[in-house]
Amino acid sequence: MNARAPNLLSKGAMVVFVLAVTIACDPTIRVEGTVHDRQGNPLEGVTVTLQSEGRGPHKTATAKDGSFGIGIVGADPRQTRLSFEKEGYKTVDLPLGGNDRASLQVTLEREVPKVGPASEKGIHP
Amino acid sequence: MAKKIQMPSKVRLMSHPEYNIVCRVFAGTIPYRVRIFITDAAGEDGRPFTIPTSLLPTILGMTEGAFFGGVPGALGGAAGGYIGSFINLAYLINAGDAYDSLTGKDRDTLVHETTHVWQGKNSTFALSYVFNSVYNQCVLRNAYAYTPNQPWKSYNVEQQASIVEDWYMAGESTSSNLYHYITDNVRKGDA
Repeated sequence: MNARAPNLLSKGAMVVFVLAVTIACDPTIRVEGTVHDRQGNPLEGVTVTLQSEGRGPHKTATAKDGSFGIGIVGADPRQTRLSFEKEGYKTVDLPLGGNDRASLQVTLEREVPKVGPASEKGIHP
Repeated sequence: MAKKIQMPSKVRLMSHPEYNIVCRVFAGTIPYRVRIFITDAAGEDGRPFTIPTSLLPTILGMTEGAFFGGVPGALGGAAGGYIGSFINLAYLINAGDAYDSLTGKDRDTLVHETTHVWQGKNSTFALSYVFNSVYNQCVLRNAYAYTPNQPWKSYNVEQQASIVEDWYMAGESTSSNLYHYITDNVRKGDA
């Protein structure tokens, strides 16, 4: 029997293990940044949602200084969108566009209040 | 350009705040805190991965005792390394850049990787999830995507980890359509 066989087998097993661990690494998407209004004031409590194809939504909220950080393991950045929602502001929805690491500065604009039809009283003094 | 594999420069036990988070998710079905280690190692492109420590001699060419020599309370040092060559004693979450932020912006990584720890602990062979992950990442276009409401056992290890991660990151809701997996499978150790 070839005496080198166990040694080769051991080296082969090592290669398989290292290869296995390399492939078993989990790809991750990481997005961080800040959200502010048009005047540049940081917005706290904005709901940030990361949504990927075939996955459930990941949610977080912005801190007092408007900062946020959110991630997802194993999602495809080409099929991932990010949305920013806060009552009284227009929702912003962005595709990640293939970036698995992104740093964003997001501006939310105030929603214009809906105005009802002018009353008769207002037209005729 | 792809980032190279990052070797570990720091290692520590899972912290109490981290353990509190994962205990809330997995209840009593994960190993003791002193059996879960966090390092700043990462795979290609900074990707995290989790391995049973019985793999350490193969990957790094050192015993567990040598690797954990500087971590207080780690497995009883060299004895743990010797025994760990035969049976799996602990798990190593290689978190890469998320090493210091697993209770903050990288909570998704903490819960996803701890699901692999859970799979190792609750399987007959601790290593089986590693091979299941490799196989499915090789044969499927996206091994992590899933369709809800299928039987738990029909999901591969990455889909299971995604389900647990997604349930947690959506706010741990008891009305979520993923919650039944947490109560009926995860917290019962049904890997």
